Amino acid sequence: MLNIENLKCGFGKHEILHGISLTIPKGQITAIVGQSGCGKTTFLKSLNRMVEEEGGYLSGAITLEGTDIKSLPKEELRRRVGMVFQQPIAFPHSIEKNLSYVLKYHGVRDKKEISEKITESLQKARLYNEVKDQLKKSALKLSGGQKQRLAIARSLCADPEILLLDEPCSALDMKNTIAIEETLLELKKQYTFVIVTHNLAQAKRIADQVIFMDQGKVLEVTEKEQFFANPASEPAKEQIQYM
Amino acid sequence: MFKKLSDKFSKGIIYLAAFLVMALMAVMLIHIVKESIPAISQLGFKMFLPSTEWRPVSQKPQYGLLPAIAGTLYVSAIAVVLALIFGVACACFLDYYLPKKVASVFLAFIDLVAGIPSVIFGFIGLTVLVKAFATHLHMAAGQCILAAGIVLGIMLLPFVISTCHESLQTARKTYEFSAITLGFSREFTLLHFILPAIRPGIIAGAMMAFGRALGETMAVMMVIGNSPIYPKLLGRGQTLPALTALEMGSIEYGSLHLSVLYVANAVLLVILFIVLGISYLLKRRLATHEN
Amino acid sequence: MRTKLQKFFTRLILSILGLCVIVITLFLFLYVFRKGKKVFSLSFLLDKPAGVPLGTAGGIYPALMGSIYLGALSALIGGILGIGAAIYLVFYSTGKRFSILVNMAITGLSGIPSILFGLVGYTLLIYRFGLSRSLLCSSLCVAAMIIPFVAIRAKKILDEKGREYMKTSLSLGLSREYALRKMILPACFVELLGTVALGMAYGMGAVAPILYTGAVMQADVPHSLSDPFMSLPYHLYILVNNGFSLDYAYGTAFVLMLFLLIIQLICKFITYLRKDN
Repeated sequence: MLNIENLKCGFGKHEILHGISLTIPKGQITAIVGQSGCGKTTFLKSLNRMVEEEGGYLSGAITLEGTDIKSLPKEELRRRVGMVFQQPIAFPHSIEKNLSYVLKYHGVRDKKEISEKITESLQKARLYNEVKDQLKKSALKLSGGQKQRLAIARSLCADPEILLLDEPCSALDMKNTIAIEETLLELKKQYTFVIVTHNLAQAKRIADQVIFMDQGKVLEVTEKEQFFANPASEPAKEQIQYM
Repeated sequence: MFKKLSDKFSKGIIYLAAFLVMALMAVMLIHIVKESIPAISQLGFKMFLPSTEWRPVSQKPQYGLLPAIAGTLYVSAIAVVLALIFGVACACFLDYYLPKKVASVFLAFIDLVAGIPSVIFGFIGLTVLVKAFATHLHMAAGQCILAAGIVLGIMLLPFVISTCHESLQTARKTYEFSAITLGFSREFTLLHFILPAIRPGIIAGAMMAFGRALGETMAVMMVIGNSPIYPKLLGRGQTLPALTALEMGSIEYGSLHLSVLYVANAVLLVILFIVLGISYLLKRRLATHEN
Repeated sequence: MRTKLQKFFTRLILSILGLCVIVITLFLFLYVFRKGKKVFSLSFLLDKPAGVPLGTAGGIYPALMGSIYLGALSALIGGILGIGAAIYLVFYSTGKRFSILVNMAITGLSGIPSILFGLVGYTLLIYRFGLSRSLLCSSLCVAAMIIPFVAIRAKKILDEKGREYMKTSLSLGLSREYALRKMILPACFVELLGTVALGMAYGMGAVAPILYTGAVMQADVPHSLSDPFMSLPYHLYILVNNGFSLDYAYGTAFVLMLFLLIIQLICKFITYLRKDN
């Protein structure tokens, strides 16, 4: 799905990612784990070129289903490779408008279609039942967990192929965390998920493939069971010990 | 795609606005420099000799800028000193001795003072201060450097008070609790811990206020007496902006006189640049200190 | 003992100085209002200046309208340019050299004394470009003055809320312009409008830039951009400087102050309401 070759990334003279090569498989949940500061978030932000919005540079070849991501217009890339952030951000509008805002940009004009897609994405994100009578209410009044599920629904409105999630549950309580994890597990056949997490237990729960990073390099790319049973690198062994 | 067209249009307007703003600054700088050249090439140093007076329309015209430069610096210095004394004290008074609600009402009120136009300050300065000077200090007319300094000082108060108040609140949060639990009184803490802590911020603010005072035109023009002589506290004086405003309209375009006025303003800009530059560096050092 | 004395004196000095400030600032408003009340009336607002010399009787209507037109036009021009530059700096620049220049330009413009805008406007617009002393010419000078005022505040407003929304919008595959048009600018609209209104108040009170670029002692309400105009603060200056009429000067100051105060209070009130949300 996503093929990465010799990815280097940094800001100015400071290089953060030192040559990463790997493949993100389709229809699976890939977890990126590692200590704080090892470059997980930067790696994620390279995949949809958001690092460049922050003034960073990107070198190396990343291909999405065979197409070089640098040859795609940025809006197209980000539609196909969506992102959900750590802090749940709701736009200051109604829940409905949060979603139709995205739909209208990507060409959905018909009112009925918009309404259907809103329902669909809210259902997928497991938020529909809680808000179905309040679609016109302000999204700012939702709880943190609800806002995050709204963020997922919003990203799904763009009809992405991959969804990148940057520690989506670290600001949420257990109940909301589980809700989101169940969402990902349910939807992984339709989409591909790449989730950055510092919580190894979470990775163990939901990942298919695990990428272990340390100091800007990828030390392991393994299937989940094998990673937790028999990690190859020393830092990984240390961290699993503390689980 | 219609969407793409409107996107490009919006982007174009935004880039155009940014460009025009930059161009405006560039045009102004270039123009000022260009118009100053005749005076610089013809008069050069003579404009800055202490012996040269300001007599642009006499038989043998002299274009000495030093009196006006001195006046500008003197008046602004008085204003800043007054504004600092009263402003810092007022900020402390508001934060310590008034209930929070009253203090915040007054702070909002003082914001409104910041919006009073320069002319009105000059007007009040004229009808109240200058008149008082004339009657009580037995001056021929009351206009003088001191009057201008006081009026300017009052104009700077809102700025000094609000910046000082902010730093004061932050410093209090950091230091007051520990100091009080060691048995120090609030006043002692203020004098010995908090004021020293906010001193760099106050100085940076003072420099910015000084910069603003340097450029004030109308209020100063109305109370300073407009005599291009060396400034004495109770004597008349002149500042560069007031000089410009006064003489601008009666000068021929392309004349040496006009060119000298441009030099005067260029000098003002240079002084401003230095002053604001110092303030910027101080603020930068303050920020790195805090980190 | 020493500390008790120190405490007492500190309190005393701070209180005296503090109260002085409060009294002085209150005095500024009360003085003008008390003295200006005498002349203030509906006819004062709506009549043209009369009497000999002109301005010692009648009203200030043309000056009032002139100021409003000047303020509105300069706020329009200055506001659009200032907000546009602010949008560029917050959302489109990322360490590019151009953005450093724009930033420097705004900082520079904010430090330039208002008289300089008048001087450059006078020599450049009137002599070089051949404009006549007019509403247009003065508006351009005042607009230049307003640009940094609006830009700096707009930058703050857009920075606070805008960055997060922009980041989220971009990661949804939307374009910057769409995010600005549909999400960020509407969300900041009221505050930005307030900033432009304050800019208008700022511009209305300016005299130095309009002295020789369009304001005159006597004129009708301007009908076109190329008409000269009267301005409230300039009218005040004329009445005082030439010793025409102190009473009418107070009245003019009263009207000017009241008008600007109303604009500022409305803006403050709106900010206060929004903060509650």
